[in-house]
Parts: sequence; C-alpha cells; structure tokens
Amino acid sequence: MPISPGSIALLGSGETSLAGGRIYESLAAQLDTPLRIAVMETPAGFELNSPQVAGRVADFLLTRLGNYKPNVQVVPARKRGSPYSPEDPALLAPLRQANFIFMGPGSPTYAIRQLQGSLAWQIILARHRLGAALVFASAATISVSAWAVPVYEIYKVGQDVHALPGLNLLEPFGATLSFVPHWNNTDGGAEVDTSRCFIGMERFAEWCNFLPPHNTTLGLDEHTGLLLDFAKQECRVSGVSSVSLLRTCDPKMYPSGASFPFSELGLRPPETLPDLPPAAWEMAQDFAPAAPPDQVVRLAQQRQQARAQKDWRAADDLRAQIQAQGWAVQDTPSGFQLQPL
Amino acid sequence: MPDPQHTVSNLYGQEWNLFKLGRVPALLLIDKAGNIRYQHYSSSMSDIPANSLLLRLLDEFSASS
Repeated sequence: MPISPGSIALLGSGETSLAGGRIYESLAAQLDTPLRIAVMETPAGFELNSPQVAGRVADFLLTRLGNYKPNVQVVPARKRGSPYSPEDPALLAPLRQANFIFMGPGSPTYAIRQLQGSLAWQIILARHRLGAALVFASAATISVSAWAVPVYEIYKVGQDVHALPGLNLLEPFGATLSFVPHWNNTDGGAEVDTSRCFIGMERFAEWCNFLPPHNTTLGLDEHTGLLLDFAKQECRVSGVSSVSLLRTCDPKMYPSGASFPFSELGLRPPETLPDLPPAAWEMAQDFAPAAPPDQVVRLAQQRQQARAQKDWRAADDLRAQIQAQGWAVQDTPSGFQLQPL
Repeated sequence: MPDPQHTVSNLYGQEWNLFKLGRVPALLLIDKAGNIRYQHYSSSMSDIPANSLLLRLLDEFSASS
C-alpha cells in the first residue's frame, strides 16, 4: 500500500471561526468528494456536554464545507473502560472511512491519556498515511505534541510547572515538535499574563526547561493555523496572526501567508515510516464504499434524462424511487453521484 | 431586487442574527435549472468568498452548461 500522507492543520484556536473555515476549505479542496468527516469527542470526553462540544464543530463543518457534500459523523470515543471506549472498533467505524479527521477543544492531558496507544489513535495515524487530512485545534493541538503543556494542571489546579509526553504525532516524520496554542492570548488583560496558552511567559520559560535540546516548539496565535502539506513538503501559516518557531536562541516568527519548507522543522519525507500495528492498519485500509446496484444506477440515469428534458415531476419521482432503495442522488457539474443513505 | 418579505433569504436558509446586525452572509450560485452549484454560508460578516473565486466558478459553470 503506497504511503501518501494527507495534510495536517494545527490551529491555535478558532475552530468555528472565519480563520478555521478557510483552513478547512483549503484542506477539503485537496480531498475527494464527498468528504467523509469524523469529529472526535475524546479531548472533551470527560465533560458532561462533550456531544455538544463536538456537535458544534460538526455543524460548522457541515455548513462551511457544504460545497464538498460532507458526511459528518461524531465519534463518541470518550473514555477507556467505558461503553464509549477509544478501543471499541464498532464505535470507531466512522474513522475507518474518514478522509478528514478533526479533534479539538477539551483537556490536552485527558486526550493523551485516552488516546496514547489506543486503537482510535492508531487508526487515525493509518488514515493519515492513506491520505486523510488531520485537523487539531486548541487542546488537541497540545495533545499531539512531543511534549505537552499540562495547561489545566498548571493554570487551574496549581501544580508545579512540568511537561508531559504527548502523542508525538510528527515523531515518525523525524521531528520532535511541541505545540502551544493560544500563544498570544490576552484574556487576562492588564491584570494577568494569559499568553502562552494561559500559563504566561514566566511559567512558559520554566516549562521550556523541561524540554530536550532537540525539541522545537511552535507557538500558534489565536485564530491562526499552520498547515503541513506533505505533498509539497511545505508549511503554510493561515489566519489572522502568526506562528512562532522556538529553538534555543533561535526564535522566528512567520506571519499569516508565510510559508517555509518542511526541513525548517526537521520533517523528512515519509519513505521510512515505522510500522503501525497490523490490526489498526487493516481496519483503516479495508473500508471500501459500497457500489450502487445496477438498478439504482439505471434509475439515476433515467432521472438525469428527465432533468435534461426539464421533466421535473418525473425527476422527483425517480429521486424518490432511488431513496426508497437506500440511496441518495446528488447532482454535480460532472454528473450525478450516488451515496448510501 | 427588492425583497421586503425576505422570501428569497428564507427560501435558501440565510441566517438572521440579532448580535450581528441582521442577516449574516449567504451566497449561492444557482444555474438556469435551479440547481445550487455553489454555496457559502457564514456567521461572520467578513467571511465572504473572493470575487476572483466567484468569477472563476461562473466561467466554469457556463462552460459546463
């Protein structure tokens, strides 16, 4: 199976904002239609309203990407050892066919605990290698870091500053990268420094001391994202502000619209990716969209003829017959498309 | 075209938001047969497709019809 990783978008915030919408559109334009979108509940799985948190994003994607005929499904993989486990293959069915996977708000350390080594995470990695686009926003952006900022533990619980191993999304591509969203946050106003994902500059400097020297940290401003285009081996900044790249004594800032090569982050081409567990790899590959029966195809062809003759009543009747057989017909500039209901 | 009853807006599902001073953006390209060929719904007044994109799409749709 050829490896052709899809693009990855990392958002500082604004998953349902203008900036987020434009980033999603740029990703959708690279993918086959109809889009098959899976929205993971996991980062907010501990919250009582996690279905609503993920549902808001799902609704936004459904509307914003309407031109790409999206099929949006929420994956309620909330907690290990529960009926909504990220180890449950049945629950993860939408992931197996997704070509656009989103994970967003919640708690970074909770997301890491639930996903580290899980079947859900392995399927996500496999789908990415098969071309699916991945989008991470806010808490999920931290969780996919090599080293995570345990923001709630520091900012709300009062634990000492420390760094935790993250899901390390880009380690197989040769880079040790850690991400800090809400980089330029100003919610605290003049009273308290809430930049650097709410922990402030002083504690951020302390956090940096826990990182190994080969780590690169990327600070993502509010409503700003970084797109990693594996086909072009290029990173692009999109949104309202900028992305900061921090290494020892070598800070760089890239404004929106800027781009730089993968090599700037130490990312290498994906020729030598380590193996994924066979079970996850097989599950991610064996999805094949069902082909419509011949009879349904004939009905769709008859409907196309009826439309060409402007016989709208006949076209509507044929649409109803197609639906009665469990298929939806959609008209596109290149003809009709049939999707299972 | 004046539409004081908002018939067209309601037909195509344009949203109304009091906190955003009324109607929020909804832009659709509709062909002669009445099919929506492109849609853009947004909750932000600044989130409007570029004219260059719309002109390109109109050219594409004209060429394919």
